[in-house]
Amino acid sequence: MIEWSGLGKRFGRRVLFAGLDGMLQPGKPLVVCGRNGSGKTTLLRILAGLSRPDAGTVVRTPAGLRISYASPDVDLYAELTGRENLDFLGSITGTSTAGITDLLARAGLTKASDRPVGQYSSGMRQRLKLAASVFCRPDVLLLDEPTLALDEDGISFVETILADHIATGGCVAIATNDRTEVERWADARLDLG
Amino acid sequence: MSKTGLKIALFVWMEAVIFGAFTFLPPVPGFRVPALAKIMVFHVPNAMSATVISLAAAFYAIRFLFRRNLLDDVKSAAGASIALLFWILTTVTGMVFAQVQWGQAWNWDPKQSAIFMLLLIYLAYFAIRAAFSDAQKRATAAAAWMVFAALTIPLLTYVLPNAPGMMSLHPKQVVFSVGGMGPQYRMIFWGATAGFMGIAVWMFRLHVRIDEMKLSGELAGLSGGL
Amino acid sequence: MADDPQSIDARTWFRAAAAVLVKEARVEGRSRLALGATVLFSVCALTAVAYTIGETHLDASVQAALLWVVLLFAAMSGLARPFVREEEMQTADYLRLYARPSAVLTGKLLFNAGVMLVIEVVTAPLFFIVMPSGMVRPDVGLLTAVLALGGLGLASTSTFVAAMIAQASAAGSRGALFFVVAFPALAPLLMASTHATFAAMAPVLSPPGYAANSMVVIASYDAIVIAAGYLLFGSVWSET
Repeated sequence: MIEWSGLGKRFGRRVLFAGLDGMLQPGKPLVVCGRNGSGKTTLLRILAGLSRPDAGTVVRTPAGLRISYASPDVDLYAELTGRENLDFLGSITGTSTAGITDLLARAGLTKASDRPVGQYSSGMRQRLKLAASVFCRPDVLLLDEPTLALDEDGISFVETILADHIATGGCVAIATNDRTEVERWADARLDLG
Repeated sequence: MSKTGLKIALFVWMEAVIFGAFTFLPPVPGFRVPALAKIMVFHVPNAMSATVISLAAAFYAIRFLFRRNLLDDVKSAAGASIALLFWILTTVTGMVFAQVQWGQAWNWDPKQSAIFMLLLIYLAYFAIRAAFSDAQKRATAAAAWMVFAALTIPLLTYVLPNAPGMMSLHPKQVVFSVGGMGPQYRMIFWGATAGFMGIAVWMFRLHVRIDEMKLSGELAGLSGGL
Repeated sequence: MADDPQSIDARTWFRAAAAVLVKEARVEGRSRLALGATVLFSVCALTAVAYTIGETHLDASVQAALLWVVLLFAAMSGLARPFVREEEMQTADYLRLYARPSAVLTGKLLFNAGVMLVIEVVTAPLFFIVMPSGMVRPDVGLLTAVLALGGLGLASTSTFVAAMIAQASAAGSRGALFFVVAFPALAPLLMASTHATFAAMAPVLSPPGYAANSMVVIASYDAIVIAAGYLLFGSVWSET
C-alpha cells in the first residue's frame, strides 16, 4: 500500500500540482487521468521512488515494497534480446528465471525472444515492457500509458496482466489519456486536469 | 552594536591592519627583499580564512546529502564561491612572493601544484553546477563532488608535498613555532587573520541571505496556496 | 535454497553485480565500434606523442609522464560510457527500480577496470616499443604493479565522476564536463603514477624510497577513492 499527502512538484517556474493526497490499496486500481503535461507521469514516478517531490511525503507500507514501473520514457536494452533483458532483470532482483519462456509466450513474443529489442516494432517493445513489469512479481504495478502502440491482442495481454495482479492482492495505478480504459478499470480516479 | 556599526568597525579594523602592515612592521633580514616578509600577514590569513570557509562549504554539502534541504545547498554553494575568492587571493599573494624571492612567480613546486589543483577542483564544482538545470540534481551532484574532493584533497595538499623526497620551496613552520615571528608581526598577523576572517564570514552570510530569498521566492508557489 | 535471509541477500547482491558486469560487456560488445573506438583512440594519442617526438631522446622521467598523459586521455574518451549511455538510452531507471546501488556501481566499476586493462595491455608495450628507449635496467615487476594499481585508480575515479555527471542536462557538453571534473580528482594519482613509473623504468636513476613512497600514495588513493565512491554513489544515483 502507498499513501501520499501534500504532494507537490514544479518544473522551473511552473507548478505541476500541489497539495495532492491519496492512497493506493490492494485490489483497488487507481486511474490517473489528465491532459498531456498535467503531471500524470511525474506522479507515477514519484510513487515509484524515481523522482523526488518538492513538497509532501510518500509512505510505503511495508518498507521493502517491490514496485514495478512501465512507461514510454523508460526503455529496455536495445542491444539485448527479449529473453536476455528478462534474464537480466531476474538476476538483479533475485527472481528465478524459470518463468521467462511462459511469460514471453503470453506476451506473444516467443518468436522474437532471441532477437535484439532494437529490432522490435513499437508494439512488441511495449509488450516486452509490460512483461518485464510483472516478471519480478511486484507488489505495486505502476503503468504509464499501458495500451500505447498496442493492437487488440496486446490490449488483452494488458487486461490479463491487470486481472492476475489484482487477483493476487497487488496495487495498481494506471496513467492514461484513454477515457475508455478509465471506465473499465477504475475503482478510484484521480484527475490532474 | 548595530549591523552598520559592526560593518564600520570591521572596515576601520582592516584599514588599521593594512596601514600597520605597511608602516609598522619591520623588514626581516634573510629574505631577498627584507620588506617582502610583510606579505605574510596577507597571504597566510587569506589561506586560513579560505580553509575555514571551505570547511563550512563541505559541512553544508554533507548536511545536504543527508537532509536534502535546498537551503543547505545554498549555503554550500555560497561557501564555495567565497572560498574560491580567498584561495585566488592566497595564490596571487604567493605568486608575488615567489616572483620577488626567487625571480619566478610559478615553479610547480608541490605546494603550488596543490593549490593549482585546488582551484581546478573549485572550478569543476562550478562547472557541475552550471550543467544541471534541475535544482535537486544540481545540488546532489555538487555536494557529492565537494565531499569527494574533500576526501582526496588532504592527500594532495599534505601527504604529497610533505612526503620524504619531495622538495618544496614553501617556507615551513613559521606561524606556530616558537620564535617564528617577532612581536610586531604576531600582532598584525593575528589582527589580519581576524579581519580577513570577519570579511569572509560577512560576505558568506550576505551571499546566503540573497540566495535564500531567491529560493523561497521560487518555493512559495508550492505549499497549498496556488 | 538457503533459509537464512542474510545469505540470500548476499548471493543476490553478487548475482546482481555480476549481471550488471555481463550486461555492460554484452551491450558494449554488440554496439558498433564502442570499445574498439576507445582502444583506437589510445593508439592515436600514443602515435601523436611518439610521432611528433620522433628521434629526440627524452629522459625516462619525461617518458613516464607522457605515458600517463596518453592513458589519461584514453580513459577520458571511454570510461564515462557505462553511466552516460544508460541516461541517453533511458535504461537507467530499470536499474534504479530493481537493483541495489552498490551492486550497480560494482558491476560498472569492474567493467571500467576491465576496459582500462585492455587499454593498458595495448598501449603500454606499444609505448615502450615506439619511444626511443629511456629505460635503464627496468624493473618490470614494479612497472606492472604501477600500471595495475594506477589503472585501477584511473578507472575508479572515472567511474565515480561519470556517475555524478551522467544526469547533467547539458548533454552535448557532458564529455568536456567529464574531463574537467575528473582531472583535478586524478591529479595526485597521475603524479604518483608518473613517479613510480619513472622509478620502474630506471631504478638506478631515481632517489631511494621514491618508488615505495609513490606506490603507497597510489594504493591509498585507490582505497580512498573507492571508499568515497561507494559512500557517495547512493545519493548521486537515485533522487530519493
